[in-house]
Amino acid sequence: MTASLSIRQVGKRFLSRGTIVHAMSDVNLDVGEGEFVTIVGPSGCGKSTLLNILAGLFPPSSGEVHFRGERTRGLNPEIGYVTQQDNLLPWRTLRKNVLLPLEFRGVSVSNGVAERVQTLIDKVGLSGFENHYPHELSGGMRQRVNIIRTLICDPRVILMDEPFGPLDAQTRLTLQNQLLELWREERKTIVFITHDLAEAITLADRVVVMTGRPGTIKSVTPVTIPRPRDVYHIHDSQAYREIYDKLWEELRDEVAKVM
Amino acid sequence: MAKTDEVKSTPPEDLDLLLPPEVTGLRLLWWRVRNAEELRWVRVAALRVIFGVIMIVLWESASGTLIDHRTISSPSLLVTSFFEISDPANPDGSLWVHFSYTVENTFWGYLLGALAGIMFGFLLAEIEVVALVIEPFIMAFNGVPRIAYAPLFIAWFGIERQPKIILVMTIVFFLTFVSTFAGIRGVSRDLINVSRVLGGSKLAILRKIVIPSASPWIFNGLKISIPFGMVGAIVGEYIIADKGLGYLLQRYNNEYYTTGLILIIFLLMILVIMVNQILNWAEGRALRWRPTSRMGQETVIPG
Ligand SMILES: Nc1ncnc2c1ncn2[C@@H]1O[C@H](COP(=O)(O)OP(=O)(O)OP(=O)(O)O)[C@@H](O)[C@H]1O
Ligand SMILES: [Mg+2]
Repeated sequence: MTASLSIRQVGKRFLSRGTIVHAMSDVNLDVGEGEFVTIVGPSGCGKSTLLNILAGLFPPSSGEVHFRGERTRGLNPEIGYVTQQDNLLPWRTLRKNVLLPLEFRGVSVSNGVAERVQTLIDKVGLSGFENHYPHELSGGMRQRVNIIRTLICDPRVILMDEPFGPLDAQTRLTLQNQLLELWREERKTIVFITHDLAEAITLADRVVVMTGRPGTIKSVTPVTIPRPRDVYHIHDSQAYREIYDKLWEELRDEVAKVM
Repeated sequence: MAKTDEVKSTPPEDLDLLLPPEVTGLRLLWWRVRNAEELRWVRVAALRVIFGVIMIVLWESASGTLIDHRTISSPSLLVTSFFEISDPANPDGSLWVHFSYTVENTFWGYLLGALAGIMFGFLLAEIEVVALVIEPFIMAFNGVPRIAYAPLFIAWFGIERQPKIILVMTIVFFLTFVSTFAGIRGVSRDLINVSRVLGGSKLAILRKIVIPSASPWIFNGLKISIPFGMVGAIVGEYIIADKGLGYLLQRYNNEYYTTGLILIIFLLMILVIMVNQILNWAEGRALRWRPTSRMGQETVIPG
């Protein structure tokens, strides 16, 4: 498996109100092409910071990031980013929100494009809501729009920062299922942050556990549970239990240190 | 208001259940009119007209009986003097000459001030350093009551239109500037970052993210500037002029001509309401997406 993203000795320090916050240090990770990696760690350990760096919003203080063998500098159209807040434009309808990145890229809305947009909308179960404004959609629907807005540009890598964080348990499972289906069809490289260990295991090829601040990688655990996975019943399997217990041990220590 | 609203919002099918059985014929029709949801704004409009008429009647009957008509004038005096003053043959110049002088000055001052205010708001909000340096100066200029500038402007720009237009301009400039600046500063950083990741250029982000995000604030600035801008024009005329509603106010004041004073106040009211309605309409169209403004559109104010 070739590395899609390589993170080498990446660290980040912030100057915040005159003091230096050491958010992250010595992070090393290779994410393979088409791999689904999830990251868990205590709050404030630099997970979002890591994604911001991978997305190219700002450079790391130390170390470097390579995308398909080349060192990244700034934003990269091949890398999509689904943020924790849905960040939809309230003055645009669902459809027009999905079209935004295409407008940014100067893609004219031909028949083919319109069809692709519609296919995605249908696939995540939003048909019939194309002309609704974000405030007329539920939180789960908005988050789906947020995701397909990133997918429409067809990036190779998708970074996701607790995308299902604020949603209720049932909606979460539905969206996890939809995400796994999309991923199975399109084989994107996905780096997915979550605070929910069950979600991390259900989705991942590998689960990364981070330490408290300054965040660094504590362990990387492969999830060998065969795919396609049943998000609704995976929790009953023995393999899942074992991984869950192992990861929880590791995470608990880190969370305890922070608290 | 709140209490009657509750009754009105009862759905029609429930309404008939509330209906006392002995009500029939004309009384039934009346009952329906009083309670139908669709007729809500008609009812409110009717009540407003009734309220206005009562006020006028009270005013008319108090004038000359309870209170001297030279103090509070009266509706009928207003009507007669309206026709006198607005007569084109009026030696002091018809009311409409004065009216359009003030409106024109306000218009040009408003237009130039608003354009400059919005432009500077955008520029300064984008350039961090300039914003930091200039902020206390702006606040200082803005903090001084605008009347204080009027004599200076008259000394600089003479007694014709220019000082009045410039006075309106400065007032409108600061109000629109401050609201535009605040609006742009308030655009969510996350939204901008997400747009950058989605491939937005600086210009595209300005057009598609920043301007729409800031537009509620900009509209707000434009709206609050209307009455303040008019104050500028009137104050300018009040101090020195030979034309305009401010000049008339000043003259009528010296002549103890209360009817004329009240007439002009009414004229100004009508003007402000009209302009405000136009801006409300424009805002409603531009910000149709907003949940609050949608509900606002349903308010009982007709038109
Ligand atoms: N722009 C910034 N300026 C200053 N400090 C920052 C900035 N961004 C993040 N930090 C600090 O860096 C640390 C890591 O923040 P980050 O948002 O990456 O945490 P996180 O792991 O995503 O936490 P959570 O799980 O709560 O979202 C925090 O201590 C935070 O205060
Ligand atoms: Mg975070």
